[in-house]
Amino acid sequence: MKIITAFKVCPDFDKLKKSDLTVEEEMSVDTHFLPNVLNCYDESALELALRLKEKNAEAELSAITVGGKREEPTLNTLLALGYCHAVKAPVDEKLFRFHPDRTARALAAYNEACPQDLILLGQEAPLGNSSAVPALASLYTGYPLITSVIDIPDIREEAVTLRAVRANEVIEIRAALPCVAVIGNAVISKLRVPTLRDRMKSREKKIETFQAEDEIAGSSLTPVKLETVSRLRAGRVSAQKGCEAIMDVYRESLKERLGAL
Amino acid sequence: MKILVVIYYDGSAESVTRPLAKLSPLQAEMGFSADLYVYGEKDPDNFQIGNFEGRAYFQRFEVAAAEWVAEAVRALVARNQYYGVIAADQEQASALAVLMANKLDYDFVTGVVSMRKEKEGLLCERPVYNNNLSASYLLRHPFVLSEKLPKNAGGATSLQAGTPRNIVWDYLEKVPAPAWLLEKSLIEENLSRPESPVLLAVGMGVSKREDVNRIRDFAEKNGFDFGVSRPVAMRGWSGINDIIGVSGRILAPEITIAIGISGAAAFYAGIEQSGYILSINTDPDAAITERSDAVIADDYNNVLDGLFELLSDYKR
Amino acid sequence: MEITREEIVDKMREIVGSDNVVTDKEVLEDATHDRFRKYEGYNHVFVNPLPAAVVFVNNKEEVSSVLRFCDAKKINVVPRTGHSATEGGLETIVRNSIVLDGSHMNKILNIDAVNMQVTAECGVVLEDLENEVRKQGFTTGHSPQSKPIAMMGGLVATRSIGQFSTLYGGIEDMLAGVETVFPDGTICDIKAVPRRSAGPDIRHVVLGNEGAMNFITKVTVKLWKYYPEYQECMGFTLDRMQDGLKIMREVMVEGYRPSVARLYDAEDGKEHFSHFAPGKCVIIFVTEGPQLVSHANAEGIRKIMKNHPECTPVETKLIETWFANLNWDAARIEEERKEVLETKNVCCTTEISAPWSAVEHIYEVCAKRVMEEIPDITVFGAHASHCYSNGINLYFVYWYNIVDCAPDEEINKYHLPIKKIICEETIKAGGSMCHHHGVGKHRTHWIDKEHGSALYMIKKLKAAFDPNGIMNIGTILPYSETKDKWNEDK
Repeated sequence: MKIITAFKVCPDFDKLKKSDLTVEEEMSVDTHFLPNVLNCYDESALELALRLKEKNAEAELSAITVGGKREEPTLNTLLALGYCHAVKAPVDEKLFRFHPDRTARALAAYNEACPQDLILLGQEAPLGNSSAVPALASLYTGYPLITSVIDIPDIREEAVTLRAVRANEVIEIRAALPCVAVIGNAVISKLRVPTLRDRMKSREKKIETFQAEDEIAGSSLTPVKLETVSRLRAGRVSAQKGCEAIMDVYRESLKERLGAL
Repeated sequence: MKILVVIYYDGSAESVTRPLAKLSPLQAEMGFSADLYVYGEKDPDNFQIGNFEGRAYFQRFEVAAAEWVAEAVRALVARNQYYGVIAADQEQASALAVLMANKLDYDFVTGVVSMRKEKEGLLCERPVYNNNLSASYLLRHPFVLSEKLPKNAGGATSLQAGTPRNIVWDYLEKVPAPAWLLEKSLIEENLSRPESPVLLAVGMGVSKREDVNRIRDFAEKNGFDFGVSRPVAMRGWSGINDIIGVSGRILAPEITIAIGISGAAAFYAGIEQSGYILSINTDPDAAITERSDAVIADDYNNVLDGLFELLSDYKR
Repeated sequence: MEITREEIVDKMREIVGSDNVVTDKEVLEDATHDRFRKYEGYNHVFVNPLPAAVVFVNNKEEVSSVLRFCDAKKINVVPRTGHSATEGGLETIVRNSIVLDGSHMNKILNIDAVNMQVTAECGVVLEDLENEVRKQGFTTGHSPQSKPIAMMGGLVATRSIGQFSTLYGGIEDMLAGVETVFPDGTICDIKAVPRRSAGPDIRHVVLGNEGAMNFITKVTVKLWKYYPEYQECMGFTLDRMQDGLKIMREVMVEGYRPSVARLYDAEDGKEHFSHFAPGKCVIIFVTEGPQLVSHANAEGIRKIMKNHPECTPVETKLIETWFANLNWDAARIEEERKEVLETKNVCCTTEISAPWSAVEHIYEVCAKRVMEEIPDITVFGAHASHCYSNGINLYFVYWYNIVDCAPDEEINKYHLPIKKIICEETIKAGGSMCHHHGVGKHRTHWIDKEHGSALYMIKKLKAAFDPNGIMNIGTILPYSETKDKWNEDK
C-alpha cells in the first residue's frame, strides 16, 4: 500500500518584525532573510503518515514537494525517518506561488507515474494560501476528496479510517482507497526527529527529482495586484500599569464601546 | 444579474442566516439578486429571514462530499443563468469552489475577504503570504468564488430588515452517499459556540494553562466569546475549535481583548475586523501594538482582576 | 525531635504571612526541579521530595528571619528568583525543604545616571530592568537568552553571562554592589564603588554562590550608554569549526572587542541558519558603542576577515532577523513542552570554557565520544559565544530521542553520560566544566577534578558561611561522600 504526503517548506512569517515585506517589481517579494519552517498542516500530515506505517508495516511512504532548494533538509530528514521516496519537483516558485493548479498537476503527474493509494496534503500553505491544491489534486487524480481531517486512526489494504471536522461536529469516516485526505488542525502537530545514526544510515538514499512542467495553461487566475496591508490603528499605549491602566483605557475609549453594545 | 449563493446547513438556522446576513447587503450594493442553494445532511427546520427575494433550493445529501455537491450545483446552474456562484464560508468552501469552477469551466478565486464590482468584473482581494500581503484578482463572469468576508462586509443594509418570512424551500432530489464512503459515524457534536460582540482572545504570552482556563471560564460565564491563537491550541491548552485566524475562525466582534497576543498576521486575520481592539502585552514593540486601538503594556497577571471586574458589569 | 512539615509551614506563615506561603501540591511539585529535569517535569514525574512550602519573601528582614529559623532547625533552603536554572541548582533533594522565592522583591530602586549604576531588588526580571534603563538611553549590557524570565538575584548567584559579553563582560564585570543575607540571618551590604583594595573582593563570596552560601536580596550593576544606531553586524560562513576558532582567537588577540562574537558549527547551526548556510559553520560579529569605537572595531574585524578566503560574507539582514528571535520567553518554553511530549526529542546543553590551545581538541574529542558512546542522538553540535584574550567557551548543544526509557531514567541514560564525557574531557584538557550555568547539583560529581587543590577554598567558604549546611544542599558540593557512580575516581 502506498501513501504519499505532499508538503511545503516556507518562510517563517512568525519571525517577521512589524512589516519587513515589500512588494517589488513584477510582484516579487523578498523573503530570503527569513528562516524556513515546515508548513504546519503538512508537518501533521507527514507525522500521521509515519504513524500509519507503524500500524501497517506494509505501507510504503513517499513524500513530495513542488518547490525549490529550501526543501532539501526536510527531504533528507524524511529519508532518515524511513520514507522510501523523498521527491523534489523543482519549479520556478514565481510561476507556481499563485497557481495551485500547476502544483496540483505536478502532484497528479507524479501519481500517474507512481500511483498511490492515499494522498495526504495540508489544507493550505503559503505563499498563495489558496486552499485549492487539495481539491485540484483530487480532480486531476480522480481520487475522492475528504477535507478537514484531524486524525487517521487506521489504514488497511482497501480502506482508510479518518476523523474530520464538519461544522460543529467531529465525524469518523471509513473511505475506500484510493483517496485524497486533506489535513487541517490535527491533534498531532510535530514531526518526529531522526537520530544521527538514522541520518548516517540513510545517506545512501537519494532525493529523487521529478520534472514537473513549468508552463502549464492552468485554470487559476494570476493576481493583478499584490500589496502590503496597512492594519494600523490608534495604538495608544496607556502610560499606566495594572488596574490603573484598565481604568485609564476604560475612561479613554473602552467605556464608550461597551456602552454601545 | 443573478448569483447563486451556496450554503452548508449544519442543522441550525444560523448556519444559513449568518452567511446570508453577510452576503445579501453586499449583493444589493453590487446590484446582484441572488438565489440560494442550501445543502446538508439534515432536513431543514422552518426559519425566517427578511430581505431575501430569490429562490431557495434545498438538497439533502446522505453525505455532503464536496465533489457531489459540486456536481449538484453544476446541474442547477445548467438550468439557470447565473452571473456567478459564491460558496459561503465553511470548512469545505474552498474545495467546493474549486470543484464547482472545474465542472462549470468558470474562473475561480478562493478565500475572498473583500470584493467590489468593476467594469470588467469583480475585483476580489484575498490574503496571501500568511496574511502578510493582499492579492487582488479580477474575476470576470461567470465566476465561482469562496468567501471569507467579514461580518460587516455589506455595510448598513440588514438582512433582518424587511418583513420576516419563512423560507419556502424548493426541494431537490436527495443524493445518496458516494460509493467510496463505506462508513460514517458521529464522534463529537456541539463544537460551535454562539458569537458574542465581545471576544477574549488568548495568545502565547499567557504562560500558564490555568490562566488560559481562567480566561475561558470568565468568558463563558459572562457570555463573551473566547478564542486562542493556533499555537495555544497546539499546546493542548485549548480545543482546536477555539483557534482564531487563517486556520480557524475569522471573527468580527465589536470589541476584542487580546491577551498575550503578539499580532502575527496569520492570527490577526481572525480579529482584524473587530470594531475595537484592546491588547494586553508586555512587549510594547509587538506587532499587535500598532494594530490595536488601545494597549496596556503590562503583564496580564497585573491586569486580569481589574479587567474582569470591569467586564462583569457588561455581562451578556 | 525533628521538626514537622506542619511546624515549618506554620512558622513561615508567621514570618511572611499566609498569603506568601504556598503549599498547593502542583506548585510544590513544580518547585522540586528546574530545567535540568524538564523532561520529567513535562511528564509530571517528580523524583525529588516535595518541599514543605514555597515561601515568597518581600524584604531582607523576612529573608533574615526565615534563614535564621531554618539554620537553627536544620531545614534545607533553596533560594530562587526566576526559576530558569538549568543545572539542578533549584532541586529540593531532601525532605521538607523550603523554596525561598525572591520574585516578589521586584522593585527597581534607583537608576543613577551620574554614577552610571542601577540598583534593583533580586526579583526584578532582567528584561524589565533593561527596558527601564533604555528609556534613559542606557543599557546594562547583560543579555543572556533567558533575559525575558531570569531575575537579578539568580543571575548574580549563577555567575551568568550574556550575548554581548565580549564587550561588556560577564555579571562579575557588571556587579558593583550587592546585598545578601547569610544563614545565620546576618544581612551584608557590599557597597558599590568603582574599585577598591580593602582585602579580598568579597563580592565573589556572593557572585556564583548558587544559593549555597547566602540569599541575594539586592544588586547594583553598572550602566553603559546605549547606542543601538551604531551597531554593526557581520556574518560569515565557512566549512570548518576549527578554522572558525582560530579566527575568533585572532580577533581577540589583535585587540578588537566586538560585543557579540559567535561561532556555530554546522550541526548546531542547522537549527538557526539552514535557510542560508546549510552544512556550514557560521561566524557572527556585532560591534556597538559610540560610533567611532563601534566602527573602528567593525573595520578591524572586516580587515581580519578579508584575509580569510575560507569565509564567505553573509547578508546583514539574515543575521539581524535571526538575532531578533534568539531569546527565550515563557511562550517558547511552553512550545517546547508540547513538542517534547509529542516527539520525545529533547535538547540539553553543557557549556565549558577552554584555553585556546585546548579548545579544538575538546570540540573534536567530545563529538567523537558522544557519537560513539551515546545512543539515539539526533543532533550533537556546539557554538562558541564568549571570547576572551586567553580562551573561549564552547556551548555543546545536543538533542536525543528518548527511547524505551521512563521519564525518570532519562537523565541517567542520556543527559548525565553526555555531560560526563564533556566535563571530564574538558577538565583533562585544562578547561573548566562550567562556563556560566553554574555547577548546580549535576556537575558536583566532578567538582573535585574541576578545582583540584583549590577545592579546599570552596569547602572552607561553605563551612564558614553555612556551618549547618542548610543552604541549598547538594549544590556546588555533593550531598554525600558515598560512592558516586558518575565520578570514577571516588
